[in-house]
Amino acid sequence: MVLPVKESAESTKVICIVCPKGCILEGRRDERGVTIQNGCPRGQEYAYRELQNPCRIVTTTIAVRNAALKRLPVRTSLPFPKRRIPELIDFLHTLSVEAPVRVGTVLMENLLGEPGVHLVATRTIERKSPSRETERQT
Amino acid sequence: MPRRVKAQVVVIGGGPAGMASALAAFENGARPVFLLERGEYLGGILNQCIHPGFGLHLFGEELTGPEYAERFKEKLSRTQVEVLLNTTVLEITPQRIVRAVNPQGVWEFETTRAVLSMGCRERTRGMLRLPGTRPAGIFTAGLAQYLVNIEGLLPGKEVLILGSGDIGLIMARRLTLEGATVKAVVEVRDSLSGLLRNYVQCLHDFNIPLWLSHTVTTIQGKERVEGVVVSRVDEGGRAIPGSERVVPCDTLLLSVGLIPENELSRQASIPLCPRTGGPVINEYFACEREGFFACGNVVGVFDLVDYVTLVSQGVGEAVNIPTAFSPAKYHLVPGDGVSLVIPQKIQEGKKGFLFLRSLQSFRQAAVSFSFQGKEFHKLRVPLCYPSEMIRLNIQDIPWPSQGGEIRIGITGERIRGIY
Repeated sequence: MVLPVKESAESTKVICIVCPKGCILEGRRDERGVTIQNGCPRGQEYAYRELQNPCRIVTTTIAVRNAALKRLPVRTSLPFPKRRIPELIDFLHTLSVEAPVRVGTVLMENLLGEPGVHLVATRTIERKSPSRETERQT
Repeated sequence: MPRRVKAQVVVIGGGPAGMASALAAFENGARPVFLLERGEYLGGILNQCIHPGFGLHLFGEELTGPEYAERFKEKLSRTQVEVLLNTTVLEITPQRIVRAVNPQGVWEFETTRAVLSMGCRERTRGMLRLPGTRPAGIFTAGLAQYLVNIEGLLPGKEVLILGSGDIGLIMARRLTLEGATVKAVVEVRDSLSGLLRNYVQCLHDFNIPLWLSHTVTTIQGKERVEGVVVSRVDEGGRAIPGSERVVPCDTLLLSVGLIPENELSRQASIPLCPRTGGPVINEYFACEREGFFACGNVVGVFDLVDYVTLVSQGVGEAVNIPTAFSPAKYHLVPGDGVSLVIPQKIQEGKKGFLFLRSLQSFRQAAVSFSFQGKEFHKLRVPLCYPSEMIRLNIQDIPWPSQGGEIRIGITGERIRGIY
C-alpha cells in the first residue's frame, strides 16, 4: 500500500494530478528558488506552482434574499491561494445578495485583495414571485 | 378527466440527460417535445454539485454543476420544448402512454417516442446491512450535499465518511470548509474508488486520512450518532476480528454507490440488464421495446456528465431514425476484470460509443474482445481505473462478420493503494 505523502510547510513533495499516473515529484529549495527534480514537463510546471504558491478554484454558497432558494452557489473566477481559503470562506459567510442574480455575474472584485480573483455567481436565481407567496400563505 | 396530449417525444426527467436529449430531439425536428421534471427546477443533481470539474470534454473549460446546467437551461428556453416542472410521472405503459400529475392536474401523453432519463439514486444504510442502533446523523453523501449546498444546513460537526467514491471525497472537502471535522474516509477496497485529483484536492489538501481496507462494522448512539466502530478487512472484504476501533463522531456519511432508478421502466415492461441495473440498450440507446430510449445514469452510472450529455444528444437524434429498433447483431458481455459494458447490444457496429468500466485499478492494461472463445481485438491502455470509464468508438472495433456473443475482458498489473 502506498501511503499519502505527509504535507508540511517545508514539504517539497507533490502528488502530480496533471494525468492519472499519480507521480510523486520532488522539489529542491535553495536561494535561487525551487527546482523540480523529476516528472514530465507538464508535471514539473504543476509541481513548481504547487511549491511556490498552491492555488485552487474555491466554490461555496452565499446567502440570497428575496428568492425561492436560500443559497446562491458561487466560485472564484481564478484559482485562489490555498493558504488563504479558510479566511475567504469566513469572509463569504458574511455576504448576502439580493435576487434576481444571473449566472456569470461578478459579485465582488479582487477577493481579499487578490488581484484578478473575482467572486462569480454560478446559478441564475429569480426573484421570488409574489403570486407564489400568496399561494403558500393560503 | 386527464388532459390528453399527443406528442412525438416525451422525456422523463430534467437532469443533464433529459435536457440534452429534449434539446437535441427538438433541434432534429421532433414536434412537439415535452420534458417532464419532478422537481421545481431543471438541472437535476447538477444544481447541488457546486464544485468545478464539469464540461472539460464538452466545452474545454471547467464549469461547476450549476453553470453546466445553466447552459442547457438557457438553450431550452430559446426553443419550443415544453418544459413541465413539478410534474411527477406516475405510470408509463408498454404502449407509451405516460401518465403524470402536476399542480395543473393529471396529464396523459400518447407519445411516439419516450426517453427515459430518470437518473439514479444512492445506496442506503439498509442496502449495506450495517448493524447497530438507529440514531439520527446517518446521511447519504448526496443528501448531505443537498443540505449543505441548497439548504445551507450543516448535517453534523464530527463526520466519518464511508466510501471513497468521488461524492464522498467532494463532501469531505465541502464539510471541512463549512467548519465540520472529517475524522476519516473509510474504504473497504484496497484502492481509492474516486479520482486521484479528488483525493489530492479534497483529502490531502485538508490532511483528512484515508483508511483503505477498512469498513464500518457498527453504529453507536441512541438519539444521535455517538461513534462508529471501524474494522480492518481481509482480502475477501470480511471484517477481521480484533481489529475494531471506535471513532467518536456525530455523523456518518455513506458514499457507497448509486443505483439506476428504473421503477417506471419496469412498469413499461422494458428489459433490464442485471449488471447495470438499467435498460438493455443498443448503440442508439434504444431499449428492447419499440419507441423507448434511455440515456444518462438511468442506463448505468456514468462518471462524467460530459459523457451523459454526449449520449443523450445521440438519443435526441435517434428519435428520428426508424431503424433504431432493428434487431441487434452482437450481444456484449462483461468478462474478467470488467464491471460494466454500455451498450449491451450492437446492430451493425458502425456508430456510437462503447463505455467500459474496469473492476479494479490496472497498470499496463489490455482490453480484449473475444468471439466464440477467440480473441479478435486487443487494445492497450497504460492506466485503467474503476473511477474512469474507458470510452471507445464502436466503429473502430473490427467486429466479426458473424453475429453473436462478444466477451470483453480487462487484464493488467493490479495497482493497490492510492495511485
